Amino acid sequence: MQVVGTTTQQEVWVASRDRKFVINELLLIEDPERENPVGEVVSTSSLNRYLPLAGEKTPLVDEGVLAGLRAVGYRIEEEEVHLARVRLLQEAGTPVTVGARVRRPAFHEVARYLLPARYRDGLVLGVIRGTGHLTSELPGDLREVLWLYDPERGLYPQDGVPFIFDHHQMHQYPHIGIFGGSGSGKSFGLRVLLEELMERRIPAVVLDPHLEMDFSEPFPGLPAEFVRDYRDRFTVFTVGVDVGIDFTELTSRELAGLLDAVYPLTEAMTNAVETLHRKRDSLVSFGSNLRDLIRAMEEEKTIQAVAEDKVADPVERERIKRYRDLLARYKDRVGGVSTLNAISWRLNALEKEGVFTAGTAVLEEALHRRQLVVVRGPVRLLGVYAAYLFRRLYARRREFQDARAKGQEAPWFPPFVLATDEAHHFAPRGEREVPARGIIREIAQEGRKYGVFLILATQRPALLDDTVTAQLNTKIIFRTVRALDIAAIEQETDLVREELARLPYLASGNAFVSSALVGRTVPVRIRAARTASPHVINPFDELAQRAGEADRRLLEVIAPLLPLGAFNLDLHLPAIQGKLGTPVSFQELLDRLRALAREGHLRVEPTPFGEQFLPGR
Amino acid sequence: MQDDLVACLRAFNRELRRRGAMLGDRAILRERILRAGGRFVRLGGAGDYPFGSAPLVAVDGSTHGFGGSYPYVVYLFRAAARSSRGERVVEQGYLSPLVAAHREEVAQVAAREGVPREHALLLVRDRQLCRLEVRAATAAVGAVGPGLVLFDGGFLRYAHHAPEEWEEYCRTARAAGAVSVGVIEEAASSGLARAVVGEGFFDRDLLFGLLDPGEALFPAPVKRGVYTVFARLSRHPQPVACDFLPEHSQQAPAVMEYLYRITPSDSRGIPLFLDLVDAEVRLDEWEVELLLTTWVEADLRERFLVPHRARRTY
Repeated sequence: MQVVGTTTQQEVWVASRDRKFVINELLLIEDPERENPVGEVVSTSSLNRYLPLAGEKTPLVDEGVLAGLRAVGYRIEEEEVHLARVRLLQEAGTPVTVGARVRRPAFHEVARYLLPARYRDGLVLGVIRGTGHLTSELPGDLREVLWLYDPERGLYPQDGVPFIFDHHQMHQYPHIGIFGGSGSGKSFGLRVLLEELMERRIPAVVLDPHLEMDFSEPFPGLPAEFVRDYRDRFTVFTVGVDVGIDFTELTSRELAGLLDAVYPLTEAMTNAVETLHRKRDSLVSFGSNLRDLIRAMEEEKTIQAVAEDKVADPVERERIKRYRDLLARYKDRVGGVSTLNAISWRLNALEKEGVFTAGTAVLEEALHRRQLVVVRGPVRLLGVYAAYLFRRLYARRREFQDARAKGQEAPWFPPFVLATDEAHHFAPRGEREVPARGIIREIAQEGRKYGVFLILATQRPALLDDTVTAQLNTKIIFRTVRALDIAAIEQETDLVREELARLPYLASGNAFVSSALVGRTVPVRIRAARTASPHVINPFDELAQRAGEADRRLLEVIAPLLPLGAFNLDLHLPAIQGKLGTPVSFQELLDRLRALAREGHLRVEPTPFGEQFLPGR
Repeated sequence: MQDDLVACLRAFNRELRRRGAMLGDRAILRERILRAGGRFVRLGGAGDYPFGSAPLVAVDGSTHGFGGSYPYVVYLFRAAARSSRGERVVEQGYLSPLVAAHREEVAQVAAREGVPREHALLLVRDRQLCRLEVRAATAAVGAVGPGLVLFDGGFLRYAHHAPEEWEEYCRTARAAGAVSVGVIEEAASSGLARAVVGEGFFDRDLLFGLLDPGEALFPAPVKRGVYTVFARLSRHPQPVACDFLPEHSQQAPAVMEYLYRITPSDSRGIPLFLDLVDAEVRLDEWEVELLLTTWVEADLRERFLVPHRARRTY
């Protein structure tokens, strides 16, 4: 291998006669004046100048000619020349010497480019692509630290230098973005990151709209020594069941957001909520104010007509006084009765879902225990809940930090990570008001100071809020097909043209990591997760499986009764129904027997009384 | 502005037409050639390589100059002999009247041949290229023991420009039992034409379109000099000429069969392996410029080599 053509301080072409280049492999250029720079192959090609594209000036060579030359030992195929564009990992002071020899480096020559200083303690996310040949040279503590998975090959052992993310440095370069389309391996990437957090007992909260964040099941087929039992490292909470909202802590805006999540609010309704809601309102106080105001407005004429001192019943008198108060205070500021009714039923709906029955205490305890907290719930509700929860947790941590800064005693609240998939729902760009965006922005900009970090995964980076995107100091980018998203990635990362061009073709599980921590883009194959997502069974397989089960069951039931036919089916029908446990009509049963016969499970013979079903062969 | 030129070209066209007519038609020419002892042979047998496991070697050279008028010029040379098994012998060199020793040789040739020095330089250049090619061939014969050696060009060129080296090559090849063939893509010979149509004509006049695709013309064997076979190895109507040493005229038919086999039918008629070596050694303007810009310092290049006309704006 040799440097050829025109070189620059950043890039060179390398040519080889005998070996094809591997994309992303590292090469060492023997150019002592520039301290033997190391570069990464960013594009590869092979060509045979004697077998060009056939054209007017370059006719196709007859096979006979090649055979004639093969007879004397000459193979034109061997004229192939391999070319690679190599980007230096660190800029050289002056252009690289043309003609310099190039070779594959040994591990110790490139270790400093591949591993962070504190690699023993970092998050092991996968292997660095193009480093396969270094596997055998790795020191013991970097060997066999992970397994890889590919849908075609299945599980296979570590093949390359581990990609280790030094999360300690997130203190300077906070927040992680995970981008990639569906099937790109993005969800796997998030799972691996969360496993690594659990491994190191870093408290974290992950929103789980798709009910896939369960870490109890080991990844099928993973060797026993790599299986981890995370069951005591995470807890699942469901909004409205185990966790909810402490109503008294809601801001008016959050309350409006919550109600909007039940069914969208009009402007008048939002206004009414904000008017009616007071700081530290409880569910009871807010609810009764709302209901009483409705009654008061409905009965306004009567109430205003009654002279207060004429009412004998003191309770009734109190009621009328309260209604008059409410009318005086709110009547002109909250719209009509229908507006209030609309708010009221939404509030009832939330109450029924149990959103206000539990608080966040159990969840906070789990964080104190340094667990991963999985929060589930319907997507719309989760958005509002996240706004509330994130704000609350962030405030807790801030209170502690601020107090400590002032030298005051305060109860400890751990630093933590907030993670979610579908981040563009929670913090979208654009005008639309979304409850969680404000707090996500705030954490994106200031969370670092307090030790609160974000992991935001999305398949639509183009739809993610700009302020938030700009703060994601590490971006893990999987296959992306949409031009709009690729453009967003181009703007927000240091991926170069060749890498961007490869984005639509990345195999599942392959990603580019663009990180301020590393200072360059690293091509990575994400490791196999140690745990499996719970719903991996394909719904169509499930259908087929179910159908098969029903047929097997029917065959079992009728086997002792054969031969069967229209002539004796009536007789056996009650028994068959009894054994199947479901009512089935005469005609339905006959149809199912015919279907079983068509599939070869039964044999049919004609008789004078119609068809007769016999055991299949 | 071009009227006069047009008139000139019309006259030229008439002259060419008359020249063609004087040759007579194809059938007559073929008849005359047969009478002169030539043999037309349709190639297209199996075309097996006639030399067993002894490899094939192809030899070619290339030169390209850079610079202005005499003596501010430098020629680079590259010659290579390559075997079908992958061995290569490469000979390289340069020539420039700016170098005292080279200037001396040019002056000697100028005096001996009675030509101006700039013409003598071209002669020395051709000499140098032939020497390097033959040297590479000789070394390759010694190193790889080929059965067949293909040269890109006729033997007379080597015998004329590098007589001593050529002698030595012939001795070595004879001793090693290698058959040599000089493939000439544009026959400049006139022997056959002289014998068949008379003075003033060249073999090219005669042979263009005379042979069918895949047909070879074997003249009567010769005792001395060079035995030249003509053949239309591809569909192109211009045949190539293949020089053999007189003692190898017996092997010529088998060799021509093989050459026919390794020549792409859509090409200009040169055996593919020879074309590959040609492409490999070729020094083109781009490469020569690149080499000189890289390895001759800019001030020296500007002072001694860059032709002033290269600095034209338009």
